[in-house]
Amino acid sequence: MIAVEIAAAVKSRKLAAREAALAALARIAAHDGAINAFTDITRERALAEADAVDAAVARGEDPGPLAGVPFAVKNLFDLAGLTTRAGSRIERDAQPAAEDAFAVAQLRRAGAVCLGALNMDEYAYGFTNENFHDGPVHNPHDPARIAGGSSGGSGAALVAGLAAITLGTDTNGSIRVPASLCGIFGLKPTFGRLSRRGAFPFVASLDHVGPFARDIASLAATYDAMAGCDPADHAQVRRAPEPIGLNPMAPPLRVARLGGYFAGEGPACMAADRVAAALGATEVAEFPDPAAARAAAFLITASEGGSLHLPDLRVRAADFDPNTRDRLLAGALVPAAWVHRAEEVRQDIARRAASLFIRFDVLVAPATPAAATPIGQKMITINGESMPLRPNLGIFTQPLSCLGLPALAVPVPEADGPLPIGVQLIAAPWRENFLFSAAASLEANGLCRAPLAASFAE
Amino acid sequence: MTAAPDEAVIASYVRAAAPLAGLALDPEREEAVIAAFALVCRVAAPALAYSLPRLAEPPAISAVPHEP
Repeated sequence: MIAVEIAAAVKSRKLAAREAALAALARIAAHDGAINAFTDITRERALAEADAVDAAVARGEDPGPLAGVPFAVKNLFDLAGLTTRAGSRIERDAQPAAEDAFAVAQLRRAGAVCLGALNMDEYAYGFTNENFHDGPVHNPHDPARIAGGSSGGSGAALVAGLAAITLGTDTNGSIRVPASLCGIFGLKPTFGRLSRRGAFPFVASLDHVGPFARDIASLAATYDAMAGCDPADHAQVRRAPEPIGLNPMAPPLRVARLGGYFAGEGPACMAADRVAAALGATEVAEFPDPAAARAAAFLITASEGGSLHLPDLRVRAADFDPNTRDRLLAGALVPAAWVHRAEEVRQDIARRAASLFIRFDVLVAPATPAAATPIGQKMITINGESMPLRPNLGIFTQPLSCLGLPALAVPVPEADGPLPIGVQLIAAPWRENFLFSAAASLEANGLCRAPLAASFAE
Repeated sequence: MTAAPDEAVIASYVRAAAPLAGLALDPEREEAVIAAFALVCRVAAPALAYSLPRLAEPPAISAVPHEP
């Protein structure tokens, strides 16, 4: 069952939250060995939370919009009593978290039931989730392939049916890349929209938290539950939550396909073309200097990430994942003038991009340059040029998150043989409602959907 | 700067800058970091070559997105 169906069944007493939790825990026990999505399973916590939901239902109280929905989170979100490892060996020495991250607490308040924590790229720096310490996440559509990263466990657990909703983070594409490669829906909201308190940082000026789900109604319910003003988070913009009301009678959206940098041949671009056509796009729009926006994000990421981890890089570099360590070391050496210039470029391109949204409500672009690649593959060919895979899977996501724009990855099943590929829907800041409206219409016409991976379907 | 610097310049820079940042790199690590820094230079080139408008009063740097 999808998340909103579980919540409806629990509220109407057709399904006990404990039954839903036990079923999810049984699926994890049966299937996680094949995909390696979970790093921690919080069985006792899950059953206690489920029992609390069942007790509320028995008392005739409203248990919340996500009543009894089993969820799991990337292991950089604080879970009370558990050490927040952020995909690393180093953080395993830290004290257990004293309280849940804000987003986790919000889901718990909405009645959701926490199953545990999920595999990720170390410190969220990567797009392949081939974690040196915890092992790679295997894509449920083909276990020989990557699930994408850095929130790879969040993508794989969902499309294998081990959790009904999952949470991840997106600095340069870490929600949209695994959503694309696993074939699920994933939202990166506007920068500053959701509280990040209790989520281990990577790049403070680019980090976002966001949800994954297998359908748009569940994604909207999760996003709404995560919203809320958090006075303790200084990065959250002081703006009241704007709940997503999925309205089938919403006025038509003005949609354009992004061209130039985002155009090309191959299955990923063809999937974006199909989505754009289904949304009635009649124009191709040019995003202002996406290569420079991507470059600015790359510089800011390298420098902020390197600076954040500099104390550990000085004294215990050998404890880092080799895939992450050399990039962080290089980032710690980026000249300050380059970073300042990158920030100015970011501001200027953001100003230019804003004018695009006077003409269009939604822009369409591929989420990744290709479908899931084999685990261990080092290089990828994009538009005829061979380049390192690990940093370049985010070539289409990075220019957009650099500007803080909201983006929703929608899945196109069987876009490359049996493999799915995601497509980004992009809107102006604070216009997540346009993204949900467009995604709901794509889901309704059947082009975008997120079935369980074939070997995990019941 | 409009193009990434050549490999020799990158190697010299990394060897000089690492100790200033308090980083002691063994030869194997040094080679890997030089390669990683070369990637930063290649990808960064479009931002470093970007033509910024000259403003009398540059806007404050903020991560909060611009609205149309």
